Amino acid sequence: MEKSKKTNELIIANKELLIQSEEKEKLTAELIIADKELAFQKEEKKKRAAELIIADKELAFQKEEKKKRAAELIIADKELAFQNEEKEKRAAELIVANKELVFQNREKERRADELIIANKELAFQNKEKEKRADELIIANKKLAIQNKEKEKRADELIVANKELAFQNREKERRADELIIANKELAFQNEEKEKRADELIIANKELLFQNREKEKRAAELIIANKELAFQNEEKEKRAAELIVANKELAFQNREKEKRADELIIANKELAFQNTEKETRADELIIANKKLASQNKEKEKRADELIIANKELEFQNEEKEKRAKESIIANKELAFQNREKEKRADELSIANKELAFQNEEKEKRAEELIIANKEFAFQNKEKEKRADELIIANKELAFQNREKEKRADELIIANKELVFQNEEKEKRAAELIIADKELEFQNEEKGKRAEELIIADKELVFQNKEKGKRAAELVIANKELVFQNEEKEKQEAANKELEAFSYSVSHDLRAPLRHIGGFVDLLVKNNSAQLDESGLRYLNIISESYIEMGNLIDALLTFSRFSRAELQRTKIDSKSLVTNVIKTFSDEIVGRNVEINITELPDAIGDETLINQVWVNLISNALKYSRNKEKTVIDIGTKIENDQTIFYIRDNGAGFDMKYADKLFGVFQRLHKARDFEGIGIGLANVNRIIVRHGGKCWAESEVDKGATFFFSVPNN
Amino acid sequence: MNTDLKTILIVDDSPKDVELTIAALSEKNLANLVVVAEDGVEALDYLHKRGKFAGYRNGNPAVILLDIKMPRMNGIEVLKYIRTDPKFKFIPVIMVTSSGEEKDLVESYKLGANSYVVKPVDIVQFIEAIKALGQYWAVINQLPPSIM
Repeated sequence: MEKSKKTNELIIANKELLIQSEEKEKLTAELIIADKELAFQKEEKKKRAAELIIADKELAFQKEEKKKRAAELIIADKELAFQNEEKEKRAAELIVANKELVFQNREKERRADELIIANKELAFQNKEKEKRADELIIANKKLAIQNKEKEKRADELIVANKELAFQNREKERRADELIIANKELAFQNEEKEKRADELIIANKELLFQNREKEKRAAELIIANKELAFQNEEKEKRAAELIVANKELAFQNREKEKRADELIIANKELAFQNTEKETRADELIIANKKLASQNKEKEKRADELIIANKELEFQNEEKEKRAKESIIANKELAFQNREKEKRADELSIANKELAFQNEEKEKRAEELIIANKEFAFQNKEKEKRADELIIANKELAFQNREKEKRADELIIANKELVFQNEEKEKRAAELIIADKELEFQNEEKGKRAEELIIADKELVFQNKEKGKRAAELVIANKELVFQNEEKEKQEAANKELEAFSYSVSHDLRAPLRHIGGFVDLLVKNNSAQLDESGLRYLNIISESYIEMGNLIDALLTFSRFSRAELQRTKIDSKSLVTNVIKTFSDEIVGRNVEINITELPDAIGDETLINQVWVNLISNALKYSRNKEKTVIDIGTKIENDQTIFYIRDNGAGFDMKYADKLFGVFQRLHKARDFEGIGIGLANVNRIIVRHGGKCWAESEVDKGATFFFSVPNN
Repeated sequence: MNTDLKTILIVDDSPKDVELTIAALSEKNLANLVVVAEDGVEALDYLHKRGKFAGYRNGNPAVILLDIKMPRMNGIEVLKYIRTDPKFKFIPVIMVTSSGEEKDLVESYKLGANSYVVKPVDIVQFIEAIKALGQYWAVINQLPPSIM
């Protein structure tokens, strides 16, 4: 055992020796290599020394280069300074541009509101326009027809113009003729006036003649009446004469009988006379008889007287005749009484009587002829009277006609004078009308040209209207589409709000139950749970609270989205001051400096704007609480028609590359471990400001604080 | 039914919420006074003692805890009804809201709600609301000393 041990040890020692000798050989070989390397290094050093010299030279060169470079850098610095200035300018421009953008945004929002109204209006107008377009199409057709009509009319006008020109020429001629005619008329008028004067005189004469004629007519009427009366009288007389004639005839016949009787009596007397001589005594007796006969005759005479009287009575108007008869009778009576004395005279008397009878017959015949003549004359006179009456009437009629004619002539005269005046006026007017016509023709020519132009324009306008109508149809469709989109958007918004509200409420119920029953579990059953069980319940409770906070935040956000804005004038300064007071607990024990410049009044919903300041001031205090001293500046600047408020802190700040996430819901740029919160505050701020027509933005640098801006329109 | 006890009418469609409310009230031994109506229609049934509440002899409840969001007839409608009915219009009504939603509360106050509590109802809130009514003793029969 010992030996084998020893042997083993020896073998190990041997191997070790072998290893050592190998190591030495290696070392020797390495030394040789190291020698060679040293030699090589020496050479290298020489080379290096040479290189160093070169390097030195190069360094010298580089120094010069550096000097140059320094000079360049100075220039570059200047350039940078210049560029910085440019950048500052650009920044200033950007701020201006920003303001402008803000303004433009507000304008756009306003414009959007206006557009909604305008859209409605446009929709209405579009309907109206569609109607109008339809009407226009109809109107276009009408216009096309009218245009054709106008073209026709234009052609007609050209023709009419020519005609008018011709007519004008004719009118000129006519006017000349009229002037001549006027002169003639004037002359005729003068003649007529003369004639009228003459006519007046003639009239007067006629009037006088008429009056005379009337007088004469009246006289003639009277004469006529008289004649008529005379005729009547004559007729009566004629009738009486006829009667008298007849009586005379009768008497003549009676006388003839008497004469015959007297002849017989005479003969008897002659016989008696002859007998007287012989018969003297008989004569006495006969005388006595005669006396008796005379008495008889006297009686007879008396009877005749009576008969005469009767005749007298019968021939009232024939007094003369009657008297004559009476005288004749008396004569007869006297003759009879004288018969004794004038027996001889009887034959004479008889003869005379016969003669007288003949005369009387002649006279009777003459009377008959005279009567006939008289009757004829009477008829003639009647005819004449009738003729005179007719003539009279005619004269009266002619007189009336003449008077009428005279009146008409006076009127005609006046009319002629008036017509002449009118003609003169008309001639003057025609001259004017002529000029006017000429002017109108010119105007019409112009108008025709204008109409042609207008026509072309109308055609063009119609085309334009067609285009416009088509555009309107397209615009209309677009508007309808936009309106639909907006309605959809609004509906979607409402739905979203309803959803958010509902989610908040309905999410809360199970959560509340988790929390409530966990509480009950802790209160009533904690004895049955071990430490880890209780820890789990605690975690559930914390999660419940966290979930509750998230839902609250969501609800609040939803409320800010929904609540109707009650715009009033807000005293910003006192609002901010009051908000800061509510954070007094938070500030206690901290070194906090808050600088507020003068803040202008703002127009907005006071409750919501208050919330904005609460969130911003709360953030400023929260993110600066790790600083030794917190400095917060609150200020404003008015730009255009909006007020920009800002709040600057010297807190943790943030990296600008995440700035776009800053105002999102539940977005956080810091760890919950560093700064608590759920990321709803700035989302609410943004929502409220946007709803006011303003804008939010921020500038920051990590660890160097942040500045939050928001703008509120002034109107 | 004990008609002498002042009744609290809980109007709520959520049995879990009712259980939590009763648990809260139980803390101060007030739960034995509770009647539950599961929605607005049942609330009116209770007030008129009809439907499933026919035969109840209780008078008007001392206070109504009225949930807002309920099926069939919501809390706002019930409140409106109560405030226009001369028999019920003087019953104190505490609105129970699950969120404290301002719009609901504003409308409730406009319609004559006396106070409000936010779910889950706990006894502290409830007592505060009762105090706000100014009718503490009208609602609470006896006050557990720990509250004061």
